[in-house]
Amino acid sequence: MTQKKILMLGAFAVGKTSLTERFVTSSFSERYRTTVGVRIHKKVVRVAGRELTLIIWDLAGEDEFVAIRTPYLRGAAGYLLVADGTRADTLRKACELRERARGAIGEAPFVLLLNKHDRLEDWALQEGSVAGLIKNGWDVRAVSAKSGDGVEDAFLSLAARLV
Amino acid sequence: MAVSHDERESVNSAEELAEAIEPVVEHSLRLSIRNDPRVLAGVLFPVIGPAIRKAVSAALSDMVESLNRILENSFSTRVLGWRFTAWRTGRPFAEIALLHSLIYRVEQVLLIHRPSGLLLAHVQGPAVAGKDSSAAQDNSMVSGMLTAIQDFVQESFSPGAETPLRTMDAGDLTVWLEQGPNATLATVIRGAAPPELRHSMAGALESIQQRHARDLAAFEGDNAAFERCQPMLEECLAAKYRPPARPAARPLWIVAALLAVLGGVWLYFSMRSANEWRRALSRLQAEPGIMVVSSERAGGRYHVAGLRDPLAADPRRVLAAAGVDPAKIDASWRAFCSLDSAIAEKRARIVLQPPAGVVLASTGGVLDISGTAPHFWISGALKAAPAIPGVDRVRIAGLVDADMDSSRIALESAIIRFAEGSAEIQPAEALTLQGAAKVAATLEAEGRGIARSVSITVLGRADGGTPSPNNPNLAAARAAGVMKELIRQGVSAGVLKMDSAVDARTGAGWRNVTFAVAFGEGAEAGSR
Ligand SMILES: Nc1nc2c(ncn2[C@@H]2O[C@H](COP(=O)(O)OP(=O)(O)OP(=O)(O)O)[C@@H](O)[C@H]2O)c(=O)[nH]1
Ligand SMILES: [Mg+2]
Repeated sequence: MTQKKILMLGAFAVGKTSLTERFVTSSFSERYRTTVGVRIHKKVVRVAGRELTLIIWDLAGEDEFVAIRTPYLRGAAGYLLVADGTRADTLRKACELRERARGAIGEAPFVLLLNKHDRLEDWALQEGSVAGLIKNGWDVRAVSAKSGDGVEDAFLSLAARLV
Repeated sequence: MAVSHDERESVNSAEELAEAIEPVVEHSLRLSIRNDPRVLAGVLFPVIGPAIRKAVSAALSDMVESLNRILENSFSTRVLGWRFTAWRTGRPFAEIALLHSLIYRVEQVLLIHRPSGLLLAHVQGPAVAGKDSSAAQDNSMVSGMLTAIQDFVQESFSPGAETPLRTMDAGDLTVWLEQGPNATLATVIRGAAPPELRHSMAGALESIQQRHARDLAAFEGDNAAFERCQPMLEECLAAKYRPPARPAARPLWIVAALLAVLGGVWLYFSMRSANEWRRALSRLQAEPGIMVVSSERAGGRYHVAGLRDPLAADPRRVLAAAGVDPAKIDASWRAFCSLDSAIAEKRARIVLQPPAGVVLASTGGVLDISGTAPHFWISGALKAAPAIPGVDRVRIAGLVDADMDSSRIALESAIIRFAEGSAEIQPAEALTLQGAAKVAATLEAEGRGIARSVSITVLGRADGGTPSPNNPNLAAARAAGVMKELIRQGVSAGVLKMDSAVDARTGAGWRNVTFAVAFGEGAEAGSR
């Protein structure tokens, strides 16, 4: 059995838990229940013909009161950076967390998810800000935990880069 | 590339986690924001409990069945004693028998990669293994959770220091952790394991670290190399039962009975201290403002660690009162801010410094203030109280504002007199009216300051003399005149009400305007 620890990183309420739940249990809830500390999920995926067990650490989002605990990052093989497309500041937070993750676990594969794509009418990201990241080689995807659009693809593309 | 079928188990345990955490989220969040993130250690424990319990619960039912069969067929005085206990406590006989027969049993052994929390290898007791494979599937998650808790406790309680978490209670199971440089060995134990188990664990971990040093350093998620660790882990899968008694031959009955009584006495005393410790711990756990995070009874000493609000009772004294020798207690406490009502009440008493005559009571986040207090104290208390941790709402329905009450009495004793047949305010009454207006305006302002509504009824009277159909109008006109004057002098129309009455009696004493004051709770006092 091959296992990989991956992280869900991002500001609070961007949808880390919702994306994890969409991926692991194919469900979604409108209700916001903030994560305390960390929740751990497991999902077996097939990558390149082999089974891979993902141990997903869904961390509490960061805000001015709660900082992400560095020990939780240790030993992770990759991570999903999550931002909320309707809140521009969460993209800045994602970039900041990417630096923090790089400091803790070095260069590791990651995917940047712009979540809540079902609410395009409230989209608040500037065109240029994302384009710049893509130019830097980031894998950026617009997804929606609510509709499920792009979620599985994003997890699987990260998984594919872990083996 | 496609997602393979998703195990139901991870769905279920995810739900269990969510359920377990839901009731505590709100409180802990508020706490961590206001005070001290360390309280989360207390939050994490109930989360892990169900997951571990689920993984091993399968074992119990098997044991109960097989033991039942053995015991139903044998007869001894010990069994008779258990039957008595079962009858007395109303619990199933087999359960009592199992509890008495089991000294301890290691149900699971997990070898965990320290940095990542990934499961390297694991073995389980025969009873667990035989049941179904779903328990095994949870282990990779349990392994991550144990690591998260270790990280958490390490960072919160002893950052930098090498004093990792060694013991954890999860319901009726205990988890022992043995920490190596890059691997953790965890045993899930039912019952009271002997210290020798620690030695076996340390030995097994040491040889694993030695033999697999390279595999551990290079571990990237493939645990095939660690299959060879199984025999070493199995060494830790110990269990010990008291042997079931054999049927006794008739002539030996009395001897057997005597031995059983002696055994019972010995058992009683050895179990009493364990029971006392457990009882003392639950007494401590129930104490407001104290959260026990870990506890251990080893080598005749009692170790207990956790979180304690500085306002909580002295834990040493609580344990001593429950019969634990204080000289044998090693305790370490970290300060945290408890939201428990009793503690919130104590805290409120310190912050608010209530004067004599004020009673504070806190239940479910509501601070009830009653009695009598000066106005400046009440308005100060209303401002300060909501910021007190554990106080969500303040109720002052039963609280008398001494200053407002004396204003009320002053206003209610003012009388504006009128000449016969006239509604005109006499020059001689101007001063009284001015005083009344001032008191009314003060009352209004004071009421607003403590969110208490003030209502002043202006009662106009006419006497029954010179019978005239116009008298009711006269009474009303007097009230209206006084009211107008009050408003002109700065009293809000909103706090004023008008009423009038004609008295049957005749005389100057019945030609006047007086005031009645009423206070109400919660409304925007005296607006417009
Ligand atoms: N419309 C819409 N709402 C979403 C989507 N994803 C999440 N949400 C909502 O956003 C809120 C926050 O979602 P969570 O998944 O709990 O966010 P989180 O990042 O885990 O938050 P923390 O644990 O507090 O850091 C919830 O009310 C979700 O229902 C989405 O794709 N579309
Ligand atoms: Mg969350």
